[in-house]
Amino acid sequence: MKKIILAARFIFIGLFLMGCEEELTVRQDALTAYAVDINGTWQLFSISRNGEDLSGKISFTDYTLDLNNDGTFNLSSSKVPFPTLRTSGASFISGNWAFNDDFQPTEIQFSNGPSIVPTRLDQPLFGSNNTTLSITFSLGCATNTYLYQFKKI
Amino acid sequence: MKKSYKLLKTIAALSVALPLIFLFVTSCFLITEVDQPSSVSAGETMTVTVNVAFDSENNGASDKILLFGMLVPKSWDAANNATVRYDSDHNANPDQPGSGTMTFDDGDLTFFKSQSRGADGNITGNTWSQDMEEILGTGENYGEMEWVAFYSDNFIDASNAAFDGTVTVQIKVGDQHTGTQLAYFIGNIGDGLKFEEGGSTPEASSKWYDVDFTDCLSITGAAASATDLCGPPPSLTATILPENYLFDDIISIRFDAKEGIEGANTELFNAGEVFVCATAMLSDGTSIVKCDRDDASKMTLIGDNIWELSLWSPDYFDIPEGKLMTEIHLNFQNADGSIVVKNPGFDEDIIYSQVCN
Repeated sequence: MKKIILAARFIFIGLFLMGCEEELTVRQDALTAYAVDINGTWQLFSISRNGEDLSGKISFTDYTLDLNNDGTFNLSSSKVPFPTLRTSGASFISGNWAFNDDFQPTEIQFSNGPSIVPTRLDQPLFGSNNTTLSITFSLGCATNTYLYQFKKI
Repeated sequence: MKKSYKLLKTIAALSVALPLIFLFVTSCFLITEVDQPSSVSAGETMTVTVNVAFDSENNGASDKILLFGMLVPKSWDAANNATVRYDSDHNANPDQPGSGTMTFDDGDLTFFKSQSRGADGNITGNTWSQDMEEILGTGENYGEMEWVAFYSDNFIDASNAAFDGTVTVQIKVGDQHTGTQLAYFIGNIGDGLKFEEGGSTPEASSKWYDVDFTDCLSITGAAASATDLCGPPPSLTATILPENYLFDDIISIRFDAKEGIEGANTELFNAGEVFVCATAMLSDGTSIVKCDRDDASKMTLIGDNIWELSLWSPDYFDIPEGKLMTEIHLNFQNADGSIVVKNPGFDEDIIYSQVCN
């Protein structure tokens, strides 16, 4: 199992109106590092384009993304748009995946040979959030941003 | 005494005016050739040479002020981006040579050179630009064009002469269009757009002037939102969202059944079902047609007679690997295909290219 160590740095600052001399308190779990397991099969359940929900307009039933422990990935179909499937560039439905930073990842990069396609993580991967994966990317024109939301199955 | 004085004054005035009026009598202009590139780059300064044959037909025609017209896209701003001159070997009078510069006509009707003459040879009260558009038209362009006029800065001694010359245009090509049909006019301000068939140069559209509409000019490197003026005009009947897209994007095709010819409803107004008939044009010149009115091409009603279909072109058209899509051609049909709505006013599909600014 590929384990990813994530450091969640959430500092909760207690601002009390009663006086400046109140002590600041930090929750103990705010500085805890979580190990998140994102290996497995992720099923797409939502697509949006520039904030517009296209889920009922584009067919993607049973579309899945496999992120495998050995660093490879597979898409279940080439019939659903994905940033690795472009007519104007590299096109592949399988290859390798990696975080841009194993400790504090902000991107998942998909690659096949020399072709590397970065996607951004829309939400940090929390310790309590290992069942939802949200990525944003561009498919064609850079002015358009797509958000794909997956759930782990 | 007063009457005699007035009469003398009138005669004196006429003696000055009449030579000017009859200065520009019959003659023939013929455009023998237009040397214009078939393709240019946006932003480039294009040189065009218009070869002209002139014949005074030995009718005593004397001094002439050359009039040159050019049909160009408005966005090229010819007033500020074009220069014109004329050249010939004719030099009967060194003070009125057959070569010189020309000035853009700003349409100031108080200036005699700017006063247009119509098909009957009389002053119309319009500018040259207005009358050229009215009488000569704008060719194959769907719109967004203008005629611009230039007149010679000096008179040309054209008495009893027949000679060849050239008009040379240098104009900066704009980036708002991928294609346009240009045209060129040659004449003189004394006769303007006066029309009369025949003369020694029957090939000319008129004895008094000639006009030449060239083949559609291809413009490379134009802006992503550029339109082809030689093609059908943009239509409100169909739109593609988002505003900026490449064919790798998910696009949403919208059809407004209320946007027919001149704002009238289309034949699919209040239709129960609407299907997209789409053709993908590929970079290798081939095309893929998807027009079988299946579930995948069925549109969804999203507003008052507004229908929408979202699709991802690589899958929708099953574009072969290595092929690039350049255009999408659209029409809209009812369930049995008995009603087909194309670009209103044109019997052609509505055409969209990629736009990504």
